[in-house]
Amino acid sequence: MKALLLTRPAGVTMTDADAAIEALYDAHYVGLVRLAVLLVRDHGTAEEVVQDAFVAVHGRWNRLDDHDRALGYLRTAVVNKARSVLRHRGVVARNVPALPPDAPGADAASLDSERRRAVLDALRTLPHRQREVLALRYYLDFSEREIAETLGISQGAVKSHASRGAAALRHLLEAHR
Amino acid sequence: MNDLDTHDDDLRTLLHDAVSDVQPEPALHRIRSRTATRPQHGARTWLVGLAAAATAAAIAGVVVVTTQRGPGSDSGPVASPTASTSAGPSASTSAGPSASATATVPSTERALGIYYVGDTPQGPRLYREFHRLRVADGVAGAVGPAIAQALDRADDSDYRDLWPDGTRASVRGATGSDVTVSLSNATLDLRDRPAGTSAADAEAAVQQLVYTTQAALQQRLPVRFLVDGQPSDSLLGVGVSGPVTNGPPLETLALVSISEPPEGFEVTGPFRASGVASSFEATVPWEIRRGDRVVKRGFSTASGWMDKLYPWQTDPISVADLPEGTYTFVASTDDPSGGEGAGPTSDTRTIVVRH
Repeated sequence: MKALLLTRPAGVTMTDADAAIEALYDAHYVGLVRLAVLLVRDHGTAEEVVQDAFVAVHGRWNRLDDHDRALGYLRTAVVNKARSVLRHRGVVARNVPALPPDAPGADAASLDSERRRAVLDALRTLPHRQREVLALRYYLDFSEREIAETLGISQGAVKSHASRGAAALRHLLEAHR
Repeated sequence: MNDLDTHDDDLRTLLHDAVSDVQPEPALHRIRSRTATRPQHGARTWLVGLAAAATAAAIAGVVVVTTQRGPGSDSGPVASPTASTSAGPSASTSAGPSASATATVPSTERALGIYYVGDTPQGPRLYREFHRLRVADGVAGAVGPAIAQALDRADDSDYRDLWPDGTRASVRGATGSDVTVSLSNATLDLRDRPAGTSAADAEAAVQQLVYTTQAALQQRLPVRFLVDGQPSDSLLGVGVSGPVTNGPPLETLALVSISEPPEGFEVTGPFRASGVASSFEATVPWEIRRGDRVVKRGFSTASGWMDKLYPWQTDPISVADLPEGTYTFVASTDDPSGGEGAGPTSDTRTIVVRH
């Protein structure tokens, strides 16, 4: 042991909120990070966004009216935080990492990763509402009503973002489908 | 999903596939350290130990880190604590020739799995430790900081430093099919195996950088090594004339590694430990020791065994019955031979119990 890294103040006890957050973490952390990667693309940023969402839901735990809906609150927090982090880091969108194109003879694994990059790049070029609607619709399999509730917009708006977003994404990804 | 079109399984498949390889690092301890409620009366003693300074130093030196060991290196250059959250220009601008892939600003923090060499009954093997490092955005932006950390020392002093003092690394580029890393040392010829380093140690040291690079990339790409910027047939005496792939996990990695808690973690309530292992019948025994005395023990079950390392996680471990103080958490592989065979592999973390 080199030295002590004391990350928590003394006198901390495990509360209901702690236990609930831990259970939510076990069941949903990886899935929420994947959702966040669809929204912000960068893995490190996605992890930060999801951790912030957990901290925020924990902080409001005693004021949440329905603890069974905690996962819904978490998802909404992830979407909102992803949007705000992109707004504050507008530069990132234009700095999407450009790895050199694959070398000749690239194997199946690198073709897979090229396709994954292309999908994430394409998502990043969409307007944020379209990207959010597509992520909730195709990754979480949400209904129009669930998407509307999560994003706080009307079902009519969901429908129009979904159809425009899907058309744009198909166009961008013609080569990969 | 019945009110939306159902003929778009193509997009569903593409989106699921696009993130199917995303495996975030464990973060429960990080979340809990941010949600911990403070005591009512004002005794907020935030003790920041040397390790925190060392971490900050590692953050400051993300791009090219020279291994500087010896007295006082722990208290070396300390980054401004505010730097870690700022999205401003980062140290990566000093990367110079270390490839466009790492030169993107702004940078963020990521928890990266860094591999270190430790001793096991099977000889030198790689253990994994998580470090939060500032990285440049992008797929390859984490490689330079990760290798720099691997060349520097581990938090756990059980792991060994096999790279000669003063070894520096720079990432010379990444393609879809491999990554190029150049290593240099002003006083030693890195092509030769240093005196006092066994062939098995040297092999492990090279694999340490391959595994660390792949963890940072989250892809199993081979690593092309240069010495002083030039292609070389040999690195520490190990043949590296072509791109080096990762060794088979069961012959390269320690058969058990602890991901959480981190070294020196303060435990104030029930905690879970987690990691990866390949242990007989997937059983991962754990112990809490005070000195040489075992004060608590149990076991967890990994999600598999035999062909590779699988994740394990303990149930919440209560420390309410332990007096405050410093303990060692030990996770092991199961040893069905009862001492007849080579014996178990284990990994340890120092933990501090406070009430």
